Amino acid sequence: MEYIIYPGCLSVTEQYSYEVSCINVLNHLGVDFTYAENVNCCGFPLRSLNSFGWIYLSARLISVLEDYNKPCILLCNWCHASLTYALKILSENEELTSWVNDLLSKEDLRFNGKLVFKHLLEFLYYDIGIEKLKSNIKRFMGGLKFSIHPGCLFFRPRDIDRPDNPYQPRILKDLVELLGAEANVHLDCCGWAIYKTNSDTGLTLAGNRIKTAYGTDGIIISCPHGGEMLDKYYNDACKTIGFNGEVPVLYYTQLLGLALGIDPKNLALNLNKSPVKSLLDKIGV
Amino acid sequence: MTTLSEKFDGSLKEKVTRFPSILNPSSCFQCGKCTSGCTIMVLMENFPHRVVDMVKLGLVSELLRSDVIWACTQCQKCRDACPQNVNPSEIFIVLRNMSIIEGGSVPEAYMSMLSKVLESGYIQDVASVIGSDGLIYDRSKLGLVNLKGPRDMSIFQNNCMEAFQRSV
Repeated sequence: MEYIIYPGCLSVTEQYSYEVSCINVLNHLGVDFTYAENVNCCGFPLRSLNSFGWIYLSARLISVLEDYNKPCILLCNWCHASLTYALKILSENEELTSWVNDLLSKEDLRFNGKLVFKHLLEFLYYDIGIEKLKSNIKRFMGGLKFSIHPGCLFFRPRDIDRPDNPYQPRILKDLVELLGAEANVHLDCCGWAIYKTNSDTGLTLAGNRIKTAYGTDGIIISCPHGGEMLDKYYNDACKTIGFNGEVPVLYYTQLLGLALGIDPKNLALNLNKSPVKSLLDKIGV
Repeated sequence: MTTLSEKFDGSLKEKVTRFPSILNPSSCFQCGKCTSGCTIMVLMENFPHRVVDMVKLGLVSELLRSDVIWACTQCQKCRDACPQNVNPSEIFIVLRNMSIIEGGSVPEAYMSMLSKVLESGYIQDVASVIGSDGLIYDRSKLGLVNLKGPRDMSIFQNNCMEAFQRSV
């Protein structure tokens, strides 16, 4: 089975630790994939400006991805929620669909609403499967305890069909536990969206989230928005709330990559801004 | 003194429901679950149930002039907690849309993201980052593929401009 991959804006413009670790994990697992071309932002971050602008951008992305006739893997929670939501709204609104298709026809594109797509975590969980992942593990993470952060839009809001349960999300928890580690789920917000208009509030939310994980071996994330707030802005977030402890923040694909025995250089651990060294020492890499 | 009924604007209230969104302000019975679970209620003194109530009362123009509509981090907790599918987080989004259409100020960060989308298809420039080893990394140094945004940028830009200017 061939897949196409669309990492989304943040992964390909700065959250390289996610993109690099993701493609190396997929290659290691023998997944056949190619990058989608002629793509654009799903528009979700721009919904605050104009929801019609958002629906155009999501419909365009869906129509471009549909033309590949292959299932699509998304890395970003926002893209996943955006495409799901746009599909729902457009499937119930003929006028809007026809308006969008008029715009898309200028590029010889057409929204059909048939795209098959999944979040990377769903792909690992359902398509690769727990058993295959387990059988490939070279380095078990027994004795480690993580605070896991699937990210809001992975499990909320439930009225647009999210991949996981809003109160007890289990996909990332199971994926971490299969490595032998303990995993406690947190459901709070990283603060990305409010950071855009009120940086202090955004950093306070991020700092509080980091602080709640103090005493664990780190936070495991799976959305580039969490990566930006909890890892890229780690120092600013901790400073904003006056927190001095060390909490490593890693993408799940980085942790999984270490467990699979992938060379740490191919997991871009040197690009994390949070203090990951203590965790790497514990794991023995 | 202006009475509530004099401030009522039914046409604006009706417009709230005509954007590409799923929301039902009229169904709110003010249980306050949205506010009690709000991520930033304490930090920014935001009370989503009051915003919903104002929409229900037809006091939309007051909200369009208020900064309160920008005090939401879109965590979707209120939307999940609501027993009536009111979707307060969506009401915030639509009020922002309406405020901008009416000529209200647009946060700079959003204008910047839109201008980057018009330039490249993505919300920000491709950055070089510094590793813990002090070296600078970019996509090619990391072995990552070149990005391929919209093929025909001029059609894409024109379509974006048209879509982002659509009103109800």
